[in-house]
Amino acid sequence: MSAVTAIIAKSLGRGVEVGEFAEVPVHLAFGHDVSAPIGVRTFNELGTPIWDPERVVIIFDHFVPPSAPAAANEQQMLRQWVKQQGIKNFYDGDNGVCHQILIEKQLVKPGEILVGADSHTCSSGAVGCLGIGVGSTELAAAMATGRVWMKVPETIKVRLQGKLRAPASAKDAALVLLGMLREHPVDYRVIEFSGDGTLTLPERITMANLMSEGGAKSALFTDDFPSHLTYDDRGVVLNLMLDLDSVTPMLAMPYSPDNVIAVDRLTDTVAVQQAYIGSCTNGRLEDLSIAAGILQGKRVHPGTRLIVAPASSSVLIQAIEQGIITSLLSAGAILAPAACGACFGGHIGLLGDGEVCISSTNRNFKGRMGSGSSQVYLASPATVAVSALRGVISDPRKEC
Amino acid sequence: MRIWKFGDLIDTDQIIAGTYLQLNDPAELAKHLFEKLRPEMAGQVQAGDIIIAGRRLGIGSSREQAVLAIKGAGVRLVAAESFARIFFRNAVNLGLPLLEVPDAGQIREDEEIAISETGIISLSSGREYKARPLAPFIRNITEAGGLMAYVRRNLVKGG
Repeated sequence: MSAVTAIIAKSLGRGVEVGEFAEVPVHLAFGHDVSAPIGVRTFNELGTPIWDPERVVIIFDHFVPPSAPAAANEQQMLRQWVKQQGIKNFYDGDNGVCHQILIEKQLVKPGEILVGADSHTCSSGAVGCLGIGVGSTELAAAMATGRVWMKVPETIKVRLQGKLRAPASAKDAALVLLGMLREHPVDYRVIEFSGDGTLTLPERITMANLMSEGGAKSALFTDDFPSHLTYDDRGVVLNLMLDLDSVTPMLAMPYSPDNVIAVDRLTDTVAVQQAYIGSCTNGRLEDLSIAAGILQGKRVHPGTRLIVAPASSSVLIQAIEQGIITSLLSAGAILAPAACGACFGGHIGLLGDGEVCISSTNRNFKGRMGSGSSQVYLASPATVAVSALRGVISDPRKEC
Repeated sequence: MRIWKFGDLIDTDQIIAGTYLQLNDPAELAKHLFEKLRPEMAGQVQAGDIIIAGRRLGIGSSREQAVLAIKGAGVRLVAAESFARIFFRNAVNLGLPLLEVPDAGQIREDEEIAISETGIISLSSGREYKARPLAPFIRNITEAGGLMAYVRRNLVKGG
C-alpha cells in the first residue's frame, strides 16, 4: 500500500482499501485565529469535553496584530477558551505562521496524522506527517472525537531526480510540478515524493505547502518515515518524475498558481508596485538570506515597495543576528510582523487598483491580495528580490 | 427563485475576501458575498436563490466563512460540475445542500428550473441535468443535517 494508506491503516489499526470512507483517529488537531473562532463556538454548542487538550493546538497568525476590533475580540475569546480548556499548545501572536510553528516546535511527527483548519496543512508532509486541511466545523468535530472522516485517497508519486541549481529553488521546482499536474486529475489525491534526499527541510516545506494549489488532499515526503511503516506502490495511480537539475526560475501568472511560465519569458515586461517575501511558503531564514544577498548594498526601485514578513519570530531573531534584516532594511524593505499579513489579503500591504505584486507566497487568485483589479505573480524569494531592485519582473540570473 | 451563474475555478477568495474573515456572523458575511466578482449580488440575492458553477467550485482557502456567507444570503442550493475538496466538505458539514451536476455549465442564468431528487430540471426544455449521487457515507452526514448533528448522534449512540 502507498505511504498515505500505510499511515491511515496504522492509525485505524486495521487494513484499508483505497476509496473506502473511514473515521480516522488523528494525533493532533489545530486551528488559527481565523478558523478557530467558528470551530470553538461549534464545539461549545456540543457541550462535550475536549477529546485531549494535550493534542489540540491553537496558533494566532492571520490577523496579527489584530487589524480591527472584531479581530481583537475573536482573539480575546480564544485566549479565554484556551485557558478554560487547559490547552498548553497555544501560540499567541508573538510566534509566527501556523505551519512553520507546527514544524519548528516539532509538534508534527513522521507517520502521524494532523487535522488542521487551514488549507496549507499539507505543509507538515515535509516531515512525513499526513496533514489534512479542513474547515472550522471539522476542527470542532476533531476536538470532540479525535477523528476526521476521509476517503482513503489515491496517490500520485513524484520521483525527484538530481539537484537544484541556484538561483533555481524549491519554489521554482514546485511551480514546475504544479504546471505538470495541470494535465492530470489531482483533486482528492495525495502527492507522495520519493528520492528527496537532496532537499533540505525548508525546501521540502515549500514544496509540500504548494501541493494544495494543484488540488491535492495532501503531500508526503517519505525520507523520514519511521521504519515500522512499510509501504509500496499499491494505490499509486500516476507516476511522475521531476528533474531538479533542469529546474529554472519560474513564475505563476495571474490568476492561478499552476499558470506557470519561465521567468525569462516575461522579464523586463511587467512593472511591479509591490514585492512580498514571506508566508508559510517562503518566509524562512534561507529565503530571507537569499533576498538579503541580492539586496545588500543596493536600493529597492523607487516605484516598488518591498515587504518582508518572516515566517516566525524565531526566524526573525536569527535573521537579525545574522545581519540579514539590516541588509534588507538598508535596501529599503518594510519589515512586517512574523505572520500571514497580506498573503491572504488580510492586512498590512494590500494592493490598490491595478497594482501588480510579485510575491513569494502561494496564491494569486483574482484580487487575492487587495483590489479586484490588482494582480499577483508568484515566484521564488530570489526572483522577488531581483524584481524589487529593478522595479520590473526580472530573472535572478540577470546581473543587477 | 433566481440562478446566480458562475464559471470554472471560482476560488473561496472570490466568495468572501480575506479582509472580511474576522466577521464570523453569516448575515454580516453575506453582505460581501462575491463582492469583487459580482458586486451587485449581495444587494440582490434573495432567500431561495441558487448558485450554479462550473468545474472545481471553491478552490483555495479552507475558509468556512465562504459557506457561511452563502448560507447567510439564504441560498438554498449550490450546484457545480465539480467541487474543490475542502469547500465540498465544509458545505456537507454545515448542511448546505450541494449537487454535483456534470452538465451544470450548460444551465443558463435566466433558465426556469426545478430541483428534483436526482438533479435539476429545465422547465423550458424539459431536460434533466442529472446529478451524481453522493457516497452513502456522505449522505449519512447530510441526512443528519450536518457534521455536528452526525457527531452528536454518534456520541449519544456510543454512550
